[in-house]
Amino acid sequence: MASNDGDLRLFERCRAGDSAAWDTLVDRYRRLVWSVILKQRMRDGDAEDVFQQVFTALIEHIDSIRDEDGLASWLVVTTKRACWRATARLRRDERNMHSLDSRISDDPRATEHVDQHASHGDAESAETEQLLERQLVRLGLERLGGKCRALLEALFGAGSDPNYALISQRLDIRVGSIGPTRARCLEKLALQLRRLGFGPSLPAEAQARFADRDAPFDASDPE
Amino acid sequence: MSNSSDLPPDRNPVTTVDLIAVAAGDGDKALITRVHDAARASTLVAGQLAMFSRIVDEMRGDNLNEPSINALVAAKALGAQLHARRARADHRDRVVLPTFVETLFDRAAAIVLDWLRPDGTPAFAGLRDDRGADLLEVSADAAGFVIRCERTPAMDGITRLVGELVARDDTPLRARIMLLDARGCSAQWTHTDALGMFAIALTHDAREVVFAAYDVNGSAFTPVVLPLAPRELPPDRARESR
Repeated sequence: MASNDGDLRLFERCRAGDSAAWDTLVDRYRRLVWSVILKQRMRDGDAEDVFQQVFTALIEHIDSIRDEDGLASWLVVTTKRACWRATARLRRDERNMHSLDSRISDDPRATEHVDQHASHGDAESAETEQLLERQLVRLGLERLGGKCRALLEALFGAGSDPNYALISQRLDIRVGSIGPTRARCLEKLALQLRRLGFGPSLPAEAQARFADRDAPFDASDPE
Repeated sequence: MSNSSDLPPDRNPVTTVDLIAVAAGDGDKALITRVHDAARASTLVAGQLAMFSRIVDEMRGDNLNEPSINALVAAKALGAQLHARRARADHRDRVVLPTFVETLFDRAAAIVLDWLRPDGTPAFAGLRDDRGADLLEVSADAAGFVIRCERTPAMDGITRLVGELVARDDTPLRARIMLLDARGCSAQWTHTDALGMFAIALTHDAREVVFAAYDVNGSAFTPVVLPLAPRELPPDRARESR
């Protein structure tokens, strides 16, 4: 993940007792944490419990976390562990329900699936990379702010087939302007993301052209 | 699909707008063909197209990752612990007011209780009635809501804080009630029900209770943090208060 001074400042404010900074921190990472929970297929009530546990863990460690730049990774790992623990507990409960011997709750095999989850090294790593990349895009959108953020979220956030008429009405943009505005906003977002370390860096020439959205790309561009 | 190498470059330009339209998935077939040809002929164009496509892919459907309002409000309510944490740090070097809530709870007869806010101003005031319950009511002016509750030892031997949270117009409020231990960590928590009622078992390690209320739209009120247990006094002040 790229350097993120925003988190550093938020941590300082949280340590000083500023709950507004905490709200911002929760807002910034809420979708990352929730997406991890969804991937672990937690049920609604359990999902809310895990969500709460993760942010409780964060607030309890707020004085000790020193690598603010690694917060997204820390949240992913913490959320996965919380999900596994919750799942292990649920399985133990289910076994207890069906077993006459309540001692099974102490059986180490009850948590064996945790180790199974943890051993899926490569797949886990790829999944984490994707989660972090998506979080970087969220951060880029947050920094973009304003109408651009609202438009891009409205166009892409819900999935496919955005309702242009509705978006036009809600954001007070003419339907005919949505396409060009979207292009400008995506360019701005791409610039933000490059600053955050998203994707491979491009040659200076490409970046210069990229800044001028009407400049044509020459298909025979020398490599 | 045509081969772009057969076409003179200046007759076949692609702009950033074109790339974005294709990346967003709403370019027509001719545009898609033209952009893909250009991407094949130039790694520069290919890189740009790939980058826009990746950004769009990451944004697409992200609303589905939005947590429930309950989960979000509850997580934000944890921010009240930061107040408590800070308040404890601030109080550490100051003269602490002798507020022995537990002691007052345990005294017989009707006595007026003072339950102080972390800033030292009175928050709770109430009477102990003959049934052994401590009736308490606090109007949290800054927060804009009212807490009515009583501390009741139940038949099961567990002492609970039972009560309700209402707005100034007496409408019930949704809220999260949390007990914090000495480290400011959440020891136990519960929610109010649809009528604004709640009941929470008072654990031995609970030192503070946090009321984090929110209205039907999910807008949070300023959380209220109240002490539950005797505050630590400097030795000289403790002697004076005896």
